[in-house]
Amino acid sequence: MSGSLRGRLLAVLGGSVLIAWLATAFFTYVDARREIDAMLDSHLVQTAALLQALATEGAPAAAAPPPAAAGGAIAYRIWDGEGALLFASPEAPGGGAVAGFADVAWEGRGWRVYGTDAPPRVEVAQSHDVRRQLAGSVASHLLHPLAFAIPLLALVIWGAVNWGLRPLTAIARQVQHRNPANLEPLDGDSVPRETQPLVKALNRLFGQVVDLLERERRFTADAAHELRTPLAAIATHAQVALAAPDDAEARRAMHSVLRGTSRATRLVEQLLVLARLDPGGEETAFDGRVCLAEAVRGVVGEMGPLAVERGIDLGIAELDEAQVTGDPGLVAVLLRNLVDNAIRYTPPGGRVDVTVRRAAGVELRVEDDGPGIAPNLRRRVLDRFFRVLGSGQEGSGLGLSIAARIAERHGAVLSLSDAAAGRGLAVTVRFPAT
Amino acid sequence: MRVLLIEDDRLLGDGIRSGLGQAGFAVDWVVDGDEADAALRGHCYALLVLDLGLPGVDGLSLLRGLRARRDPTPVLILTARDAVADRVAGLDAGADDYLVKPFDLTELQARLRALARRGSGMVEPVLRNGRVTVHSDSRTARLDGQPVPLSAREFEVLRELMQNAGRVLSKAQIEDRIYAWGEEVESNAIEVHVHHLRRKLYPELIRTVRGLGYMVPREDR
Repeated sequence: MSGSLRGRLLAVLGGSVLIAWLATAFFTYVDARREIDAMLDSHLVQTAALLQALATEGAPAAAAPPPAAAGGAIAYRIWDGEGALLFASPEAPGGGAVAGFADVAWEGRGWRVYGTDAPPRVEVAQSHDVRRQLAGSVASHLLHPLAFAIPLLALVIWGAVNWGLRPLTAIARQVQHRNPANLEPLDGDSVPRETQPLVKALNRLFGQVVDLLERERRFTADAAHELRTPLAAIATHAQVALAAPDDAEARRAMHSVLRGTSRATRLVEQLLVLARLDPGGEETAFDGRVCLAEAVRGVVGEMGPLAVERGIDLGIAELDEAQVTGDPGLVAVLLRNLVDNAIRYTPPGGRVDVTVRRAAGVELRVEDDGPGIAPNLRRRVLDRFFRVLGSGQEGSGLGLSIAARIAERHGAVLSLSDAAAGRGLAVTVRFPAT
Repeated sequence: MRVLLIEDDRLLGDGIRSGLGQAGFAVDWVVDGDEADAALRGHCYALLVLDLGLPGVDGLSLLRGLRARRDPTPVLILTARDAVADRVAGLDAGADDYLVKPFDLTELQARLRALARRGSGMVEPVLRNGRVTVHSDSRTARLDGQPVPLSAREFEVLRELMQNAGRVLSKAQIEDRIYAWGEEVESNAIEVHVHHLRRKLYPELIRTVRGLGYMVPREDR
């Protein structure tokens, strides 16, 4: 709904006043018509009686002045005892004589006619127009005040709306004069009851924005701090290389610079993935189909060289040709993070198995026979930037939290448990049935 | 000067060890609090470099424990957190100085030298005794104002003896202060260094106290 509140109020109030007034005028008109009819009818009867009396006395009817009646002239016709027309006033309607009351149309005008039964017969008639005019003027007097009432009403509504909207205007001013950093709740006590839902909704929104900003701020700070350590390592090794007394040490230091750079790069990539996963707004559902088996084959092939380099036996244990609904790119990131983690944290000579199985939904499992994660830490390893101490690995601390977030976006559940072999970690992602 | 580095990040720890090594520090590097405790019980360090790290590594409690044991070793903390509150917490827990990552290696070296100097009660970075002066900042020694070229180890031996002028240091004590773990030390290494120092400077500078060790006697000029 849009438009002016004032306009709407004016239309509704003014309209109803107008309708009520018009209805009153109409009923008054009808009522007045009835009363006027009754009064003028009795007047017609009196006039007829008077004319009859005059005719009986033999007075020349023509000499009699046409009797004036309230609201207009009365036309008349007089017949003698034998039925011959003695006299007719000039505008009198013609046609046959009537007895009693009748409404007669003559030459395009409507007439109210009254004729006497007994001879000498007299007929008096009065134009309908006269009666209509009378009733009309009564009703129109009633309508005149509307001309003043409607503008007056508009003025009153304008003032009342202003007065009524004052709390809203005050809120608008409060919000308008705020800087974006001020997300304090609005004072909800001093506003009328009707505006409280608005204030409450605004305050709830402010609260959510505060939370969102705080989360963003903390994340940015954490990310910046996380980047400092690899940057410090890069800078230190670069300075060591510059000050190195021999080539061998300089080369060694430069290799460390490269290692630091790739670590920082990986961290930045992971942060970007997280940023893409967290648009901070509503989340669109995925409508693509991902062949999980195909994705597993791709990622295991891709990670093969790393596994060989680290002396890990990486393989696929079981592979159902299952499909899930989701984003192929994100599912690949999820898989890569899980497999990469398993390879990284499993000592050389270990084994990493990937399984895709059709169960109630689709179950993806990455299992290793490494040191595992103590049950009390399993919740925390899903936190951003959390790293298990003493693992000796240079992870970003983001791999598992990204995997968990991607699973969440797909309506899947990521859980950590002991591997089936009794030692090592099993990461299970259960996708919903499609 | 022997330094204990407590740094859980392998890459950064490796870099700091190499960098401080270049500046003549003998660096022992540990990656967690337990190892640090063990190292502190086994040796006497001139300096501690402690990475406060990120959530999970509690460097502050290590620092508090150190101070609770009345250990006066100067401590420099490395931190990724640069908020004032974090720095204050570190200093209040007993740190003597801090650096925020990423830092400049030469600044780290200079700050450590300054901490060591203050720790030994010196005002200026120059040790004087008789005709010899030792400049810690430029890592040079002078005889009668003329620079004398010394190897890194010779310089360290000279500096330790000069710093303890008037006191006898055993060979083992000198070795302990100038060699880090895992460094190859020949059984006669200190004797060789002392021999070279006597030749490059003058023989009477370093006296041998038989059965005990070496000493630079206090000379007033």
